[in-house]
Formats: sequence, C-alpha cells, structure tokens
Amino acid sequence: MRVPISWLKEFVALRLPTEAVAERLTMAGIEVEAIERDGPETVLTLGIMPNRGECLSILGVAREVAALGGGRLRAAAIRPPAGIPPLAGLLAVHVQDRAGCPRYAARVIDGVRVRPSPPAIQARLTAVGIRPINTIVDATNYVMWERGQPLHAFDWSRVRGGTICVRRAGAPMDFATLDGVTRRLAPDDLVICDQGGPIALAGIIGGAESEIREATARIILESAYFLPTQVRRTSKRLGLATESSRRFERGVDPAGVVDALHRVTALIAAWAGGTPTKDWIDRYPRPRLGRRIALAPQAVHAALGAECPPARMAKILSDLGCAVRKGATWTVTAPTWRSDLTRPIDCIEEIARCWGYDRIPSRLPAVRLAVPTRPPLEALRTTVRSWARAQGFSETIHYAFLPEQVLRRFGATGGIRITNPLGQEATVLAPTLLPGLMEAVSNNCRIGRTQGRLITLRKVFRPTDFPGASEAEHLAGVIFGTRKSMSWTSSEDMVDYFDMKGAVEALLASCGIVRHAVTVDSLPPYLHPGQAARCRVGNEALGVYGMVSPDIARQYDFPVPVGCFELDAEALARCTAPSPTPFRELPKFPGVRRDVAFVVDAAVPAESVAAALETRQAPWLASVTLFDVYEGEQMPAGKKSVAYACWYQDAERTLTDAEVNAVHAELVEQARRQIGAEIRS
Amino acid sequence: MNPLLEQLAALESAARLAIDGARDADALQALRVRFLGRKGELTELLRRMGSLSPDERPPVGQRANAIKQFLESTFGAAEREAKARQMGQDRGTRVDITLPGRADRPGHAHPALAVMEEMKAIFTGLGFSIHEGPEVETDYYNFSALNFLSDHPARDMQDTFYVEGGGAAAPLLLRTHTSPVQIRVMEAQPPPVRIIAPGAVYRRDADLTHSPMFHQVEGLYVDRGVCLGDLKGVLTCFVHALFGADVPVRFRPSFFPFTEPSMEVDIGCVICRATRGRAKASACRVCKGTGWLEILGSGMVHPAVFEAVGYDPDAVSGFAFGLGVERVAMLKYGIDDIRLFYGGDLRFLEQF
Repeated sequence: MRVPISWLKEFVALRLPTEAVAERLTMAGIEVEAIERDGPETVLTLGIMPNRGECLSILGVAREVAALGGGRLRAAAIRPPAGIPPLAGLLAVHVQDRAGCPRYAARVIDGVRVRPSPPAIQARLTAVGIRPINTIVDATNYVMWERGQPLHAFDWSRVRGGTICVRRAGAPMDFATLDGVTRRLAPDDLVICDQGGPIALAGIIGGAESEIREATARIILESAYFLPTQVRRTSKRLGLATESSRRFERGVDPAGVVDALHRVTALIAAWAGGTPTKDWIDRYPRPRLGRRIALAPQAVHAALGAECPPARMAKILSDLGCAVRKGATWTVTAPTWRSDLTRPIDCIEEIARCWGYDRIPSRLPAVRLAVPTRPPLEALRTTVRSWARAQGFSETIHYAFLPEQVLRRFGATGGIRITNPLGQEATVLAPTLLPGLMEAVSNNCRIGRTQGRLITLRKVFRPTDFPGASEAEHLAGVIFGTRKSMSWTSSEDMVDYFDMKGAVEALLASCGIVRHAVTVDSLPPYLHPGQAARCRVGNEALGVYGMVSPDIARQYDFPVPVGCFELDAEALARCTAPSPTPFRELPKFPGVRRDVAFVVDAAVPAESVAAALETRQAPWLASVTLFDVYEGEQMPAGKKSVAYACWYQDAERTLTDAEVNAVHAELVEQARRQIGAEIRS
Repeated sequence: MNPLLEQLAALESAARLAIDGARDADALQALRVRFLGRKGELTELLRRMGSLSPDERPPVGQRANAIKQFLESTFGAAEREAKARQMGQDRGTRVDITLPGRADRPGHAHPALAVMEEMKAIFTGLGFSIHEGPEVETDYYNFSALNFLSDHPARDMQDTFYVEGGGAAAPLLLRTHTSPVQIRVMEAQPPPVRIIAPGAVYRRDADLTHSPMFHQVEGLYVDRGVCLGDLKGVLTCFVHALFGADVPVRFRPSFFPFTEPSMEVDIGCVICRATRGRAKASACRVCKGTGWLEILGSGMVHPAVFEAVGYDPDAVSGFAFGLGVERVAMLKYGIDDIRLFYGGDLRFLEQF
C-alpha cells in the first residue's frame, strides 16, 4: 500500500517528521517497507497484514497514525452533495442475495463529460501505482484509495431497463469483463445484473459492455458491502485478484459505504461536471454494529506479564475508535471498520502493540523440569552423520520432488504428483533419494569435480490406498571417481563395488551390525546387474548398494565409475544393536594362527568357503579371516584361490602346536570335502 | 700363557672386525651363527675347556664369558640398528617435511543442517523436546486447526503445493510450515508442552532468497500462566545463543493467524552492525538500510488453536515461534543465493 505524505496530511495533522511516523507505524505492526522521495512528495510503502484490510486506505492509515500519537485526526464529516432530478424512473435496485450483499447503495449522475482528470489527481494516482484513465474511473479509484471502499461506475445507457439486481449467477455462463477477457462464471458467483444478465462480477470487476466510454453522459455509481468470503471464492476460482477484490475479501467498513458514495459523487461533479440525482438508493436492511467484547483488565496483565495502566489501556482502545465502558469487566465496542476485533485477545493485542512491546519486560519461565524426548530416528541420524564425516561423505540436500521422466530412469512409477507444480518439470514426490544424488554427481563432474562422496538423509514418499502418503526416511549416498582424492601418495585407482560395500559395512558396524546377507534378487534397474547387491539383516530388508548400471552411467554421461547405496533408515534403526553391548573378557592366553588356501571354481562365492570353515565349530576356533583372493597365471583357468587365517584360542591355557595342528588339519579336510576344493600348497 | 686364552683373544679381535664390516641384518645373523651358534667358534673353544686343569679353568671361563656377553650385546645393538635402518628410523634417513600428509579427508556437514542441529541443541538445552510430523499434510492440520479460516486472505501468506491422493473434502498438500506438528503434539498429550519441530517445508516460490523446499524450526510452549514476557525472555535467550550475547533484539508487532499477539523478532543486522553503532546501515544490502533483520515469527498461541485441540484457553496459555533454517545459515555465512544449499556442489559443501 503506497501512501503519499501529502494525501495522508489531508486526514491527519502530522506533528512528527516522516521518519518518526514510519518508525511508529513499523513498531506498531504496519511495516514501512520503503520511504521514497520524489520532488516535494514523499511516498511510504506499507506492508499491510491480511487482518488489517482497513489500512488499505489513506483514511485507515491516518487513523492508525493518529492512534499512535502521530497527530490529530482531521475528522472530515462527509455531506451528501446536492442534486436535482429524482432517482425514481432512472434506476431501480433489487438485492436478491442479502447474505452476499448486506448493503448496496447507488446514485445516478447526468451530463458528465468523460475526459482526463486534473493533472494533480493523475499525479497522485500514478504515485500510488494506479494508471489514470478518465475522470469517472479515476474518481472511483481515488475514493477507493482514500477511504478503502471500492466503487464502480456503469454507463447508464448500457444498463438495460434501468434496473440493477444483485444475485447469484444461477447457471454457468460466459461473461466479458472490462479487461477484455471472457470468463466462465459458476452458478454460485455473485453478480450485478441488469434485465438482460450480468453487468459486473460483484466486488471484483465490471463488465465490458457497461464500462464508461468517452461518449458516456449518464452514469450509475455503485458503493456496496459484499461478503468477504463470497468475493474471495470467486476471485480465487477465476484467478482474478483486483484492488477491489483485495479490499472486499479483507472486509470494508459497512458503515462507510454511503460516505464513499457521497465523496465520489462530489469528486465527479467537480472534475466531470454533471448533475447528481436528488436522492440515492441505500439497501441496508440490517445495519451492522461494532462487535461488543468483554475485556477483563487483569486478563491483559496476565497475557502480557506487565501492568499497562488502565487509563492507558482505555485511551489506546478509544484512540483506535473503540467505545470503552469500564467496570469490573470492560465492554469494548469495536469500530465497524475493524472487523478483525472479535475476542478479548484481539483487544489485548491492540493494547500491547500500541503501548509498545518493548515495555513488556523479558523473563525466563520457572518450570517443572522434565527430560526432553527426541524422535526415534535421531540417534541413528547422529551415528550416520559421524560415520559419514569419518568416511569422507559430505551431506547434501535435494528437492523432494522430481520430473517424472527422471523417476522413470530409476524404474519408479506411480509417485505422488503435485497438482500445481512451479514449473513443468518437478512434479512427482520422489520414492528414492538416488536421482538427486546422481544429478549432483553429474553436476560436479561437469565442473571438473570428478571425485567425491555424498550422502543425503531425508524422507521419500509413496502413494497409499487410503487418502494420504506413506513417508519413510531413507539414507543414500554416492561415491565416484578415484578411490582417494588427488594426492602425491595415492594411486589413481577408481572406486568399485568393494569401496561401496566397505563404506556400507563400516556404517553397519557403526550401528553394531557385524554381519549382513547379500542377494541379487530383483535388483533395481539402475544398479549394475553383476556389481550390486540387496542387503538384508535378519528379516529386515535394508536396501541396496553397488555400482550404477551402464544405462544410468550413459544417461548421466558419467566420466568416472559411480557407486551408490540407499537404505531404509527405519529398518536400519530396528537392526541397530541396543547399546551398550556387553563387554567380552580379554583372552589371558595367546592365540595360534594357521593358514589355509583353497582352490575353487571362480564362480564359488567366497562366503560359502568361509561358512564351510566357520560352521564346523572346530574346537578352539575363534575367528576366520579372508586374507587373499587370487585368480591369474598361477591358477588353472576358471579357478581361484581363497586364503584364510584361522585363529585358535583357549580361555584356560596356552594351546600346544601339536593339538592345534591336529584340529586344523581335521577342519581343513572336512571343509575341503564339503566344498569340493583343492588345498593350494 | 694358556693357548686357549690366546685363541680367545684372536677370536675376539676377529669378531670385532667382522661385525664392523657387516652391512645388514642378514650378515649379522650369519656372524651370530659363526661365533655363537651351536657349532660356532666360541662354542667350540668353550667345549675344549673340559681338557683344562681345575686351576686353569677360572681365568679362561671368565674370559670366555666376557667375550660371549660382549658379542651378545654387540650383535643386539647392531641388529637393532640394522632393523631401524630397514624401517627408515635410523638417524640418517631424511624426508621432505614440507610434503602434504597422507590421510583420508573427512566429509563436510551441510551448513543449513549444521545450523539446524545448533538450534536443536540450544532448545533441548532449555528443556524442549523434539517432535516431527508428516510432510504431506491435510488442509486441517496445516491451516484450519491453526486458525487459517477458509476463504480468508491469510491463506495467501503461504503459497501452497497441493498433491493428489486426498479428496475434495480433505485436500492433501505439502506442509507450508512445521506448525502442524504443534497441533499433532497437543492432540496427543496434555499440557505442559515444550517442543520444537524441525523439518522440511514447501512453498510455491523460487528466487535468490526463496526455495520451493526449505527447512524450519518451529517451537511451542504451553503451560499455566505463560505470558508475553516469557516469549520475549526465551526467544532473546535463543537468539543470543545463536548469534552472540551482544546482538541487539527487538520485538515488532505482526500477524499470524495462529498467534495473538503476534510479533516478528528482529536482530541487529549481522552484516553492517549499524544498530551497534559500527557503521551506517544505509548502504547495507542485506538489511536494506534498516539496520534490522527479521529472524523469527512468533506470538502467543491463539485461543482458537487451543479450542481446536481441546485445550482450555482460560486455563492454559502459551507461545509459538518459527524460523527458517536456510535464512539463518545465509546470514551466518553471508551466503547470498539460497539455491546453493541444494544440489550438492562440492565446491560449496567443502567450505563448511
């Protein structure tokens, strides 16, 4: 809302410099966003909150400035301009929808000359951001800006039958508005009609047919109070917000409707000539009174935690236009222009903001202590973040919504669509975090960062059968490029499956999970069919990890190998070992190591060889560690060697070589037979 | 002189000579075998002591033991030295101490999430619990229960993304603030309530300072007899913990449907510091010359909100507040483009 100081001064005798007025307004909740000086004029730009519709007017701002001690209000009582011809015979008004239109006033002016407005008026309208058009339209806009009451002028000769009817449209119909657009009206829309149909969309915009033209000589002026929710519904549905609808949907002053009609009549008579009718129409069957609020002064003290003197409280309220009747409980009658004042708390806010928030002393509450609680996943997130940091993963944030075609690359279909997306592309809530990370890898590679590790931790979304969405927290990461960042000591080796697996294993270990199972069942299409795995702990499916598929690598044009993982955080939390895990006593006697290397078919999973050793439960066997895998010249084709270190240990004594040798030989032989392997010598 | 003594003397000098000439651990091991081994030269000489008379034995024995001890310690020292040389730890080995070290570089925390963790730590320190809620919300929790009346222009304050899956009666949307968590918590537990609700929120808006997805920390404090002074005290405490105890704070009236009285909390501009008399604010782009930055929205919980969750507004009162995490991170680090927070540009992330 733009307010020229010269205009404001017509309504309040300012006794403070502009900056001081601006400071008071801002500190009372009418934020002054800018002060612009242009020649002799100074214009304030105000940010008006949706509950203060009355401040979308010079008069409203003037009342506020006066209430804040910025100067005395110049109470200009409005007198009805005199007129000659009787209205009867020129105009009849029927308000059919009284709920949608509680008040409707109108008057006719004959013999106007439609021409440009006086230069000073044009300048003022331009300063507040309204394009001057002609005397008639400018006068309606001028009064709207001044008093907050939107007005409309019809060309009388285009109003068929000299009759105006305010009613619902009743049936869907097309209506050409004066902005040159034809809009489809809904049956519920409130319209102003003549005998032939709609001539204006109530409170929003007039019709093209009845708009003021240069040749217009006789006009009908409309000043009304339309129901705010009614105006807003139509304005929203049509996507048509006007200066008029902005004011009506916030609520104009029902008591000011006729004052505005008088004011605009006087201005038109002065600027465009013409003779108003002797009388005017004012359909206002149930005059609205200011709302009565019971306010207990001690409730103000309790809410603020400070004692504003009662006299000060009463003065603040009456300066704002309220009538105050004191007593044990006060009766505060709100002015008709403050439709936002309905409850005691509304009065308390008025008192607090005008008295000054800075007068209310800060204090820290004294409370009964309680142990704060945290969300169930919070502990896991902390574990994940410290693991990520140690493993060189930097954390990223990606949008939760993605273009549908990107999700299709990841074999994800049927995601939840956003019905009103910002652009065309980002329309679906992602059921996976990997597309965002892949995009990040691609962007980093494009700027020459071809090595890195990224992790992200947030919700993914899936549709459900019932209304609503299923949300699950995932954590996902990528590794790409060389295994280590560039350094004089590190090799140029590229990341592979085992780097990705190792990072995931380290994460699982951080969660106290020593062992997980891997399968290749129904791997998602974005993973490499031979270098990726599904990961499971007990009955919990945790997720997947591995290298990306050649298809994905090609689509993103990755210049380096890329590995990724995505795990279900809630499943991971369920598998996480409860801490603390019990302490195991340290061995008192030394252990003995015996090695064995088996030669097996290259396709045999190493895990099955280890299992053959471990499941025998050989006496004293404490652990089995794979320390070498070899395939190559020294091996027959299609064979590989897998070498294990077996540790034997007893809690009670030191084992002798002879007894360990015997046990080890027995173990190796049994395992060899089970897996059909050779012993490598 | 006993010939055995002479032979011992000869052995000693031969051994000294050989040890001095030994190049590495292998050579030393060979010498140890040559002199001290089971068939070594010293061992052989000692074996011949049996042929000596009892009188002759003590001096020869003493001498032989002395030589044995000398050889043992000399071999020990020489072997330690040789081993050290192999591990590069002998005193002669030099490295270029200016070369960079060998280490796995740690990853980086995200600046916005780090700020969010900082906020969480401050509030849990003040005894607030942390609660979360769904990001796909119903109109009821996001708006109606928070006293956003239907067909009221207050709804335009937060431009909303709607998603499919709801019905006309209960449209689904992406939450525009984490305030719905207030409602869910109050529905689930009786007062007192001291919670914060951190999380992602969505608004249909995108430019240098607005992102369609960003993060908020929302707070709610409800108990008997909570007043505006409590709000001022707790939020001043929070702002001082976050920005430093010397940062100026002011409370400015504002409007939110779910609080009344409502207020914005402003801090003295952390960029130009005009409110602390350090400079003139007029040129500051961040605070637009005002010297103040809007940092928190807050207010006393509106009675209509208590009514919606079944709390008695005459028995309890409270305050609520909310702030944008990215905005605070932008101010703390002087970041001027919010889009940098999303997308994982390593050149950005590695600065934090």
